Amino acid sequence: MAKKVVAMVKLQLQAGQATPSPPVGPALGQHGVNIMEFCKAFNERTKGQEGTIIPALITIFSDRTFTFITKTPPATFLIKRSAKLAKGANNPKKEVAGSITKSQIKEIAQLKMQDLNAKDMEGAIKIIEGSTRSMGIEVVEG
Amino acid sequence: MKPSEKPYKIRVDVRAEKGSEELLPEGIYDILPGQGIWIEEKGDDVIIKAYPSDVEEFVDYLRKSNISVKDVNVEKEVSLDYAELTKKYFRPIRIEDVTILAPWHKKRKSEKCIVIEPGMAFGTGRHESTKLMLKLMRHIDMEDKSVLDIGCGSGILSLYANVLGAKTIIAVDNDMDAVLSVKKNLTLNDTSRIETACTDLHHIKGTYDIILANLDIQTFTRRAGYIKKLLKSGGFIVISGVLVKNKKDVLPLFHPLSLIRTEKKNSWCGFVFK
Repeated sequence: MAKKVVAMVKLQLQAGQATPSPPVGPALGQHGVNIMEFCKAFNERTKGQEGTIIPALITIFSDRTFTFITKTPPATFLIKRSAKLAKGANNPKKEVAGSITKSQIKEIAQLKMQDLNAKDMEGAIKIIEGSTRSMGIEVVEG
Repeated sequence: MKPSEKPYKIRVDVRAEKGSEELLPEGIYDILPGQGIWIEEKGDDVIIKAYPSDVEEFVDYLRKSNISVKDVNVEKEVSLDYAELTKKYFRPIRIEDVTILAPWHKKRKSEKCIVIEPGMAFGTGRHESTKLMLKLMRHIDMEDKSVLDIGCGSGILSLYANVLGAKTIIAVDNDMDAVLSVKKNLTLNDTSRIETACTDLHHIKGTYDIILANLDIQTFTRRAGYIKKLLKSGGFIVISGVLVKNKKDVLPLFHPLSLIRTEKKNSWCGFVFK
């Protein structure tokens, strides 16, 4: 196929819940793609992961067709999952909502290395640790 | 209606370091009625675009997070009916003797129509290479012939072969999304005469009177030999997806077949070999 990429769009959406309203509508509408078709395909592909945010990278071609890939949930969701929490602390400065081990932090950093603004692994770990603390989750040895 | 009176949504654009979209607190999504964000890359930064129900709460979430925010801009964005917008982009188009419609268009009995749901498979009829394929196909007598459509995308070429009276049509693609899209388009066109398969080119068996291949130079370079083997003696190969500047590289690949027709549209070209 004579596919020529005209745009790439990145969205982070609730699994199984995409609708043509913003942000999907304006993000894809400006490139003239069939917005409903994207929503249907995204919801189909993320079925069963409801309650999680899923990043989608959409490639748009010159005849206004598109493809997309979905990625692992954002780092904050992976942290929350590792700490086995329903959500982070309401007031992270005063309250500890749970804990996560250093090796779990490293795992998340490895998985998200290319999506973070980190020069190396050490930098990625620091970013994940910082986010973990800002969620009121303690980092423990292990 | 003045622009200021149009319904609008509040959009917050947050400029932050690349990767910040990974670090947004999960609770932030609860105050986004669209349940998501849109991320645009700007050099080493990203612009996170969100439509929060409560701007102050949104900014408060950002403040508590581990993101170093460089700039926050609040914009009024005019609300549009995005489903209607899609319809505006995909109006009926006439190519050769056939009209390409979307499922929401009314079929006209007086003209030949092909219905294509514009989506994830290439072939909405809006690309030069598709138009060239249809133009080249129109000059071939397909009545009672067997047709193989390689890299079928949306199935638009197979559906046109159907219009032209081909006896058997097989549409193949190595992309499952494309094959699912063809199946849907077959239903939209009330035809079950086209067989579909999700397979790589080198797994295709048999020989065919007419082979349709709107591919690209890389695939032709690697696979032209195999495509030729699938052709019945005296049959036709119709190809496109070739840029005019690559014509000289593509033509020898189909030797010893003779080039019987060439068409060009903007920077794209297409050929028929016999």
